Order: sequence, then structure tokens, then C-alpha cells
Amino acid sequence: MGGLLVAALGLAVALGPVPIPPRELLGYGAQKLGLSPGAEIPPAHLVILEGVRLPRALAAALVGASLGVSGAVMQGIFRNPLASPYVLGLASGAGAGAALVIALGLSAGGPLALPLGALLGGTAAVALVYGIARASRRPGMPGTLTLILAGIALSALFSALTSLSIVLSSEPLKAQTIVFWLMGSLGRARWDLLPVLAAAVVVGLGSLFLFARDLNVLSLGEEGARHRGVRPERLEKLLLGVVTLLTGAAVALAGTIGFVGLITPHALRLVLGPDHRVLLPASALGGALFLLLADTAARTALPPLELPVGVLTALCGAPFFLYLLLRRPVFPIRGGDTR
Amino acid sequence: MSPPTLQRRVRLRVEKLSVSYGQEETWALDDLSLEIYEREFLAVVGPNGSGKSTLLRALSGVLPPRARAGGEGRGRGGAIYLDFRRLEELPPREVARVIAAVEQEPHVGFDFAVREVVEWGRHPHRGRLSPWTAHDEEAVRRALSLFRLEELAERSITELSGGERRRVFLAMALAQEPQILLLDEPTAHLDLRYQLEILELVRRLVNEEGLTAVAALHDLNAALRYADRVAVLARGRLVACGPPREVLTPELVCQVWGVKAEVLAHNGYTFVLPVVSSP
Repeated sequence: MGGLLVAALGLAVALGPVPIPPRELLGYGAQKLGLSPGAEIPPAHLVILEGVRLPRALAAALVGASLGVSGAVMQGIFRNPLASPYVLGLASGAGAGAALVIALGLSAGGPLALPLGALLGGTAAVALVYGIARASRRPGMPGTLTLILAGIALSALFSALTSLSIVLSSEPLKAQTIVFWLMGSLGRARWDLLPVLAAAVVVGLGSLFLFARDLNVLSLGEEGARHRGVRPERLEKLLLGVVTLLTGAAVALAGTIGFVGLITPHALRLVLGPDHRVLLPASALGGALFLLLADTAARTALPPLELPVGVLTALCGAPFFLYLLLRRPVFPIRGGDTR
Repeated sequence: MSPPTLQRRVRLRVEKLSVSYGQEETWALDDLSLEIYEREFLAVVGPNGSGKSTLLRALSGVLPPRARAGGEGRGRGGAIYLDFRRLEELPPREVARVIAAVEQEPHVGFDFAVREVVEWGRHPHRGRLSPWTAHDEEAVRRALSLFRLEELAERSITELSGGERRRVFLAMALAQEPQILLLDEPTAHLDLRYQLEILELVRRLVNEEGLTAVAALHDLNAALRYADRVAVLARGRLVACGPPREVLTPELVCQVWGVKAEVLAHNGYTFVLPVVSSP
């Protein structure tokens, strides 16, 4: 899968309005790896490669990896293969945050205003959902069920706020910017934001992987996991925190891109089995691959038009998901503990 | 099957335990005190809703330790001690190395293979980064073989029958190499042969390996045959506790279950035979 990812990366930087021949790419790669002294690559191509395509391709891979692994963790925590990184309202919270920044004209304050607004909105939504779910927790009700219900309610609320700010925007341009942001795009990728995301992905992946076995045991439900020495509340809190940061960073950079976090772990689980020690790294790689290919297709499918990548992931993702549902009987979805 | 003698150490001590789940005035357990000795097989019996499962859950440490906010004194009162240490103050991992519990209706959220599920029994014994050891492997192999699951080891747990799945969870609990085994209706959904096999196995582990076992049972005859002592619960209270043949009398069965029954002896075995439901 790692090899596939490198190949997809090559494809992504090669394709576009100005194709860059593979020979030049290989030369460039060899030079960067210190294998050959100089690359025969025209300056114009170098500008396109380093200035536009490479950061965008790397961003696609990192965002895809974040969403893929976050989806796998969320599905593990909720013991439900239909959970996504956005169950706890992160997407709609980030959307509302971004919409607010645009509607209030704060995006003029610098390139970081929009990602920061999205990140704040997203984490605020998750914190709110988590706080409400904890406060309303009943002894007879599984904690994950109250979390999902609170997530649904608050998602609706934040979506309404986003719609409100679109309608109330005095300038049509602002409304258009919000709508476009909500569809998700990697066009905003820039070198200066990439290290932040890369660091988040490395730290996030590493810490999530440490808890892969606990996540397996959590499949027994909260009570069964406790019998094996796991503290379910603590584990859930920790994992939700890491996933929120990962997804938050991804959403701040690229907007809300759907279906990557839902489809990738789901499909990989059918192929590789449910062991999170395999599934977590595989979902990161698979998510990176999926989003990279989707973004390349979004850029090049209908030139000169560039499709929002979120539209494309949903266009491929939704039918594929339905196909998975029809192909194989869905195993019983349990809401967690029965008591 | 000797009754516990005075030299036997108390492993679990329940002291004036009261548990309530809801806001109502009903107590799932009401001022219950009980001692569980090492190397004994204690059967917990009682009608539906008498508090058997609640007692087992409390013993395993999963019940919330304190009264919850909003209620006045609701939740749990009293205390449980594991080897003279308060159970709720021990880290779950440490408890899980001593106590293995199997709930009444265990389940797995994803289609893991049987072997993977049994391997989770080793979880409390392993560090986050420690490798799988030969001892872990041996514990899993033994648990699989005790329940004759070798053939099913690579199958997905979701493909198994209810009885097979129950054996997998019991195997996981044994792979945990516990000193104390808590089983909530271990023979439910099992056919006659597996009912006998499982109780015989528990009896053997108690006799030969010094296991302490507590099992909630519906079958009074199983309690009579396999248990050293039987604790009888009714509406959250401990009604009687002692050797099964002394405790399970027609009078007690009538009082607790509201069933007219005869107690018979045959070939050295003692049976409770229910006769009519409303005496």
C-alpha cells in the first residue's frame, strides 16, 4: 500500500493542465533523495511542481490519512461500522466556525483566520457534545449512545447556524465562499500549513496505534472491556481527544470532506479484518490514497473546471458504500452495552 | 466437595452492600453481606430480578462505586473487599489479573476471529508495548482446548451459534488465568451436554487448581450437584447461605420461588423436583 501511495503521489503531481513527464519527476525525486546531483527539469515545470502540485498532493495525502484513521477509531469506539470522524459534530461545528469568520469579514485578518475559525468551531462542537452527553448519562444507558444522540442534535444546530450566516450575508460573494468552503477543497494547500498537519498526523497516528489493542478489547462493550482491565471512559476520552485534533487540523486545512473517514475503514475492515493493530495504519494509508486519487481526478476530470473534492468523494463514496451494504449482509449493529 | 473449613482464607468480602439503579425506592441489592472463600464454588440462586446479576457485577468491580449526583444516597452503599483491600480503589487492570468475569450476555462488536477474542484474556497481563510471550500463547492454547474450540479458532465469532459463542467467552475468561472466576448464568443457551461439561470443568478447576468460582445459576439441581455453598437471594436480600443440601429445602423453595417442590435423593444425588407453581 505504501508503494501504491508513492505511485499515486507521482500521478497527482504529473497530471494537470501542464503535464510533467515521468522522466523529469524521477529525476526530481532522485535529486531530492540525494541519489543524483542535478535534475533536468525546466524551470517552469519546477515552479508548478514545487509551488502548486506537490504541496497540494501532500496535503491531500495528510488530510486523507487523518480522516481515514479517525474514522477507524470512531467506528471502534462506537462499535459501529457506520460511525465517521464527524459523528460528534466536528464537521458542522467547523463549518459554522468558518462561516462565521467569512460572514463577519474576519478572513481579511490573515490566511490563518479561516482555518483557526474552523478548528475552534469544530473542537467547541465536540467539547459541547461530550459535556452534554456526560451530564445526561444514565446508569442504564450506554455512554456511546448518548454521545451519538447529542452529536446528532448539535450537528443540526450548527448546520442551522451555518445556513443562517449564508442567508444573512449581505454580499453574495461571502455566501458563495461559505458554500464553496463547505464542499471541501485542497486548493488552499500551502507549504507553511503543511508541517502543522504533518506533525499532527505523526503524533496522532503514533498515539492512536499505542491504543490499538485496547480498542480491540473495547469491542466487548464497556463492561466486558472493564473485565479485561481497560478503563473505557478514560480510553474513549483520550481517543476522542486525539481524533478531534487530527480531524480538526484536516478540516481546518481542507474544509469538510465527507465519506473518506466512513468508507476507508469500513472497506478495509471487510478485506483485512477488524484488528485495529492492522486496521489503523491501513486506514491512514488507504485514506491518503483515496483522497489523493479523488483530488487528482477532481482537478483533471473536466478541464478547465475544478470540481470540489468533497463532491467527488461523495460521488464515488456513496455508491460504493451502498454496494458494500448490498454485497454483504451487515452484521448486527449494537449500540454498545445493553445495560 | 467439602464445606469450607475455618482455615480457608476469605477472598471477597461483601459488607452491607446496597445497590440501586434508578431513582425509585427499589433496591437491586439491599444491605447484603457475604463472604467468599478461596477454593470454593459458590452458587448464587434466586428468582428473576432477585439481584444475582447485580451481585456478580458488583463483585467484578464494574458498578459505579458511589451514589450518583441528583439522588439522595442512590447508587451504591456498603463496601466490597478483595483480599482486605477495597475493590473500588484498585486499578481495573490489577483487578482483572485476579478476577475474570463473564457477563450474562457478552457480545463482540466486530467480527473478530475466535482466537483473537480468547487472546483478549491476556490483555490485563500485558504491557502496552510488551510482546506476546510463550506463556500468553500457552494460556490461550489451553483455554481453547479446555472448551474444545481449536477447530473453531480461526472462524469469525459472528458465525458461531449461541452456545459456541458462550464457550468462547468462557475460554477468554480462563485465558485470563484468574484466581477468582465470576460467571453470570454460564449454562444459559447451552445444550445438556455443554451444561454438564462447563460445570464439571469449573468444579475441576476449583478442586485441582485452587480456583474460586462464583456462578449465578437458575438450575437448583446444578447448584446441589456442583457447588460447595449456595447463596439464596430474594428481592435483593440474602435469604440463606450454606451447603446446598442444608439450604435448599422444600420450605425455602416455597418461600423464595413460590413453588411447591419435593427434595429427593437418588443414587447419592439430591434433586429438587418442582411439583406445582402455586402451592
